[in-house]
Amino acid sequence: MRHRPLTAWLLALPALAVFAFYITWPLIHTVVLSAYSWSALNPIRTFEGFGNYVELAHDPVLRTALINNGLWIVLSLVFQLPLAMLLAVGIGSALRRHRILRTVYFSPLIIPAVAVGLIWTLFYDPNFGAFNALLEAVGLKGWTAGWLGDTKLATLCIIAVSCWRYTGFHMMILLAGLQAIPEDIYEAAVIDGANAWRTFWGITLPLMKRVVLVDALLITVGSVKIFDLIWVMTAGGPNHASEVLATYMYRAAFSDDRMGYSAAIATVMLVLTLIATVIYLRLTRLEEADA
Amino acid sequence: MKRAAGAWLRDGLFALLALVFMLPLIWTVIGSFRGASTLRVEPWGLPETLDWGNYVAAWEGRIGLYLLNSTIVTVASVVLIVVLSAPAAYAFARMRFSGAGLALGFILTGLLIPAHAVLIPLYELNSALGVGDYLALIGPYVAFGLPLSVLLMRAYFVEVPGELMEAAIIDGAGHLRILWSIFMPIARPAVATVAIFQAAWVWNELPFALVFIKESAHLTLPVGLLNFQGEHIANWGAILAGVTIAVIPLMVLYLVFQRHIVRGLTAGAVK
Amino acid sequence: MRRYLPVALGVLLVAALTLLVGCPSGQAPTGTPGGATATGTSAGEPVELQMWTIWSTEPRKSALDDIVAAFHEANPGIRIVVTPVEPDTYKTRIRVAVGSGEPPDIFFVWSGEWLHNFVRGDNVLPITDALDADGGAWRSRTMGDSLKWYTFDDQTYGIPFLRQCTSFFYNKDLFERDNVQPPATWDEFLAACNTLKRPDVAPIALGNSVKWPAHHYVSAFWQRLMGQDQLMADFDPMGPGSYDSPGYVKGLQMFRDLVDRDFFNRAPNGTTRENARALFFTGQAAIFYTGTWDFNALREGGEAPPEFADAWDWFNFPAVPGGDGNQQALHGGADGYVISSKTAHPEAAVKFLQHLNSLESAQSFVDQCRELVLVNGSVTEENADEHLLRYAREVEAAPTIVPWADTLMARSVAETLLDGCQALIDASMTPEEIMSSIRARQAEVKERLEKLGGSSMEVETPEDEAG
Repeated sequence: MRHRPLTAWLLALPALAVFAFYITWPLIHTVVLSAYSWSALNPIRTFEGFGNYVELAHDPVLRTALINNGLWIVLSLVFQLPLAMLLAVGIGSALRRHRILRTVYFSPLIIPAVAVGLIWTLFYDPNFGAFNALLEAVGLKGWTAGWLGDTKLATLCIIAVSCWRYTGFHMMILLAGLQAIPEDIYEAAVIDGANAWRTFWGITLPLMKRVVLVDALLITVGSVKIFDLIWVMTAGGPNHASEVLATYMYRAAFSDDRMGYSAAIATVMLVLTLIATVIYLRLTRLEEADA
Repeated sequence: MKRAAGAWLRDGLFALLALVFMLPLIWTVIGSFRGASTLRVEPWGLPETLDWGNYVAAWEGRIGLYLLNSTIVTVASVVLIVVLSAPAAYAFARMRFSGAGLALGFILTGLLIPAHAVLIPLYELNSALGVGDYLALIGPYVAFGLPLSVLLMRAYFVEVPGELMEAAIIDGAGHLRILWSIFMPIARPAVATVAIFQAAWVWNELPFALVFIKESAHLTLPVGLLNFQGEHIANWGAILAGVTIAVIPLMVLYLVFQRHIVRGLTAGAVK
Repeated sequence: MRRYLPVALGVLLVAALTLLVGCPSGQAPTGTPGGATATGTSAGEPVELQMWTIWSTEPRKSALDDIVAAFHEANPGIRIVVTPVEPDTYKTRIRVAVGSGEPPDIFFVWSGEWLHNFVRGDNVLPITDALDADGGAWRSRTMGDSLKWYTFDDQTYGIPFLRQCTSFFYNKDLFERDNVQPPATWDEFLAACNTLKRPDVAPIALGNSVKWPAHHYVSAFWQRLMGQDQLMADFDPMGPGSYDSPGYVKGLQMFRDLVDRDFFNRAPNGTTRENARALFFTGQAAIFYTGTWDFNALREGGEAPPEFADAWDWFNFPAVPGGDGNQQALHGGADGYVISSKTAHPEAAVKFLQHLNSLESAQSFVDQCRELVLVNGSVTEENADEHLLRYAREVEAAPTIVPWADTLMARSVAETLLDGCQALIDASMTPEEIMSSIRARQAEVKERLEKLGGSSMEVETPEDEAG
């Protein structure tokens, strides 16, 4: 087929223009601003060159944030992906008719993040909260803890909430990939006498490799961007223990009034997500499907 | 096939998981009928009576207005996302033109950009444009919604049989006609998926809404809910009632569209 | 697609670099609203003023609405459009609005450095002349010396409205049960806590998930130990001080000592303020260091059970023997309102602040909210209860009211202190470590302010003499 390129560009242009106007342009602005230092309340900006980045390199809080973001990525992948797969396979096969379950697993996503944070903060409360009450009730008083107030546990507690919230979403994506596998492949396997376990490892997983990778990318990028839940539950505390890049960026801008520094952290986030994507593209060779 | 003990065990496991997933929502609904003081001290109690007081308080706190604002912003954003991304997805899927890959790559970078990275420049942009509160939100929402929509719809459009398109071209139909009368109906699942994902995101979006809305009469639900939290006292009953109200429209939307959603994702994720 | 991504990124980068060269200030010129507009003219469209407040919940919201309604009645040519914003988000929203050159005409402020920051950037209109007009009639209406926290370089930038102070609230029944008297000195306080401590009762409730409640202790210790002059000298980034006084480490240690003695409830850093309050009113904690803002939660009709309404009382922060500060000082802030320097209608805005600060407005606010408004005579037998009357008397009798440290320190230094207090609770930092990171942060702030130097506003704003 031949098309005039002009027509094609005209069709794509509105989307491209809106995108460039509202995202690319402001983004460039942020990158530019990371070379300055200023207060939100004072119009005067002083040029710092790479000063903000030099400072970031020596900032122990940035190190904590990077480690926490890494923890988010690893733990989200380790817990959400298999659990989402389990739910998808379960619903996709035996519970095919259980539409209602699908809705149930998806439901945490439609509760506003602010509300999710408030509710779970009540559950985690050291004095009145459900978790400590539950542990005491079953005779595990020694396991009770300060949860969000505990430097070592705070991040893990919020990651657990994030798993609860997003696993249903990832289940949906995996479910889609699962349903794209032709039925007759399974039928052949059943005739060959393969059990469910072997079918999964031998057929399902290999055929879903690409979907799993897409989903892994979404989880990774989501873990770099994570903000809302942490902000509502601990605001990065106690003493930066649950700080991640996004919360630190927000704090730098709105609590510490260091706008340029904040822009530098935003730029670091951007670079990290881009690196994640490049790795992903290498893994999947997406262009094959594109050709 | 026989129903073995293992199958029962598995169903039990899934039901248990379902309970875990639903518990906070159930708790919210129960809590919305309870008094704020007992809620804190005995989080697991049941309401003494079926008291609609919290809903009255939420309503008096203008939750109806917030609901309307959120609906306006969400519907407008989702419609615009679809309207803008469909022609782009069509061009990327079915037309070969120089720079196509570059343009696609360009827009897909948007999947990765954290909203906070552009918060302040966007605020300044909105101020410079002098747009009203709704538009100040809708613009960024649409832009952030485009990458995923283009990705999903393009994947679907790739699969539409070429003969359909050629026949239409021979009939003298223009590209927009072809897009509207052939591609869109076939891609309904993709549109449904885009709609529900974007609606869920826009409906609950906080950072932009927090900073961009100037007039209290234009607040969306998430920001409106925050207003039940005072400097030193929070009206928890009203907050939970508000959350319950906020969740219902999305729940309904999801139930209506869910038949399409899974099919929509299939093409999007695999390709 | 893969091979195009690097190209797309390259284009982005080149564009960014191009801009870097051509974009020195990064600020698009924003049109300033015409300053020539006549204000309060009776003919034609009424003048509209935007007002932002954090009073988003009842009863404060309605109380303000009533004050505004009364103003509209008296001034048909002016309309006040009130936007209530939830307090935590307000801090973000007002900074963004002011920073981008589109501030509301009138807005809420916390006193001290928070306000000072706005003043440094030339964002707030001084109202000194209006206060001094008619022989200083307006100025003399204001209770005590609270205007001084709104005054920088001999210019006053707004009106303090609400006076909030922190005190030790205590459970009278638990004190009676253990035969404990409200302590007057810190040693007595420690002894009282020892007596009150039981397996099911924590001596003190502390909810520090929001970081600042623990700092209220440190703030009070510092004032008692070193006195306000020393603190003001150190807090001002351009001032003569350098946080070297041993009182700083000692104050942090005295707070840490409370943790070591296990006087607080479990996991204060994981406990919300609301839940600490609930520990207090359910009798699971005997003492609660909080502000007068909690009057409303504790009195009848509040969050606490009705039988608790008469079971509580409060005492001032005990004296620390040997300290250099005034041992009777109260600790508190004065929330208020200022006018934006960008407003097109300064006279109308001043007129509204005068109305807000009038005796009628103050009394009607007290009547509805039961809080102390900083207008002489605002609290009367008719509109206040026992607690509020006593509190008003204490404020009037106080030798001085010292603001909390985090409201006086430079923003990022204050954050370092707040984080440090959380770290003290879980023993992840020592007092010495906290002070050295505070000093480092202070040096950074100083460097930044010096860089702004001459081209900026007057950065060096000597604090007026401290009480």
